[in-house]
Amino acid sequence: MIFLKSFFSREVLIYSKKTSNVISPVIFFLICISFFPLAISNDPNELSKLAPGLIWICILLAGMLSIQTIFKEDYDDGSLDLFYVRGFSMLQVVLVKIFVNWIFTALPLILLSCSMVFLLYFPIDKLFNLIGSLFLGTLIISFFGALAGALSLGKNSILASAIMLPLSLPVLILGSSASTYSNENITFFILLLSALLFFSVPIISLACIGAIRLHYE
Amino acid sequence: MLTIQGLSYAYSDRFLFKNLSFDLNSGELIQLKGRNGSGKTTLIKVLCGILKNYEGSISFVNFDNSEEQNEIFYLGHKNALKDNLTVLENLKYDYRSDGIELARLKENLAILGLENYLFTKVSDLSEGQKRKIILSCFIASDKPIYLLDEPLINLDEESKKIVSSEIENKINSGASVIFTSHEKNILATKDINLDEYAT
Repeated sequence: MIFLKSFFSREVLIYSKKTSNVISPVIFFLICISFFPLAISNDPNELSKLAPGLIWICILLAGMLSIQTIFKEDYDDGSLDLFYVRGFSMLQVVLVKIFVNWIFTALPLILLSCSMVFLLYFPIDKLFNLIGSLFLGTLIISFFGALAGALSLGKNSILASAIMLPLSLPVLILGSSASTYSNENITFFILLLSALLFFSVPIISLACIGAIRLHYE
Repeated sequence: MLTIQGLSYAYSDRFLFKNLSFDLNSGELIQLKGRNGSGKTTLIKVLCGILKNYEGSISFVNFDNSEEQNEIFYLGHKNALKDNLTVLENLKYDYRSDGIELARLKENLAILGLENYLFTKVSDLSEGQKRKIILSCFIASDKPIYLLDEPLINLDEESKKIVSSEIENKINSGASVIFTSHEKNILATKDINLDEYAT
């Protein structure tokens, strides 16, 4: 428990000092979202239909900028070696790193997407559906991204993207559907996303531990 | 303290070292030698539990397996410092400095001439200064076994003398040290040349 607290504060401190990791996805998201009305159409009806998908695609791509390198720095500078030497729980390491990354990269994007709904004429009555699906979906994507990052340690980021994108497709489909359908149908999609998150947390965390270990064999 | 029997480690279809056996006793200083790529760093990583797929046996005498991770001080080739944090923040969250009072670490930083860099970002320091941050943890720590991978790398002559004398102090107080270096250390009680164990 002491390690968990100290490791959490360490990660929060590192992210709070490494502002480029937080700002880059936000800027990427803002640029993408603001270009869509210019490039596709400025018709409110058309934009409001496309808005959930556009927000989801932008969040997925912006999130990819940071999540894939989640273990890279610790691997490169030798911090992961120390975790093994001290016998720290790698499950705790993986979970804390994913959660802190989500707080600093996905959470600002979720908050930002609330303000972007006006730009894309997104129906306000479905705003809570969008936020709910984004909360669950971005968490799942963070786990998939962490696995891609763990598998591609020491290799180029194209491999990580190639692993992450196909894994994220079901989340993208479920998430944008949850934000599109009426309030009565949202429960179905939210339940599916919750189930996916429920299974992803233990399975992907263990897969991440195994993938990191592979680089020490 | 440490008994190694028939230790072998294979990498890319060849053995870096094969059938390596030695004992590390209390107050002993073993220097690992060998040409570049002979497996010195790998052996240190195997001994401290980072690399697991080895053949042979490593037994820690006098403490059980659950304790061994708290009984080893590991100084790797990489410093494991965060560039965007200050020296003080790095020390606060460095797991090698667990249980050591910050005041003691600051004293040791002063011995190594880094007392004015506490609030400097690590990215602004030279490689030698980065090494000194970790060496301040080494000087302050009190463990029975020290596994040091190139501890003197990037250091100036004066700092090398300070660290060498600290290694001597550790040995005199009964601790055991295994270290890798290309430089001859007159304190070493035993040399192991890994070139002799390569296949």
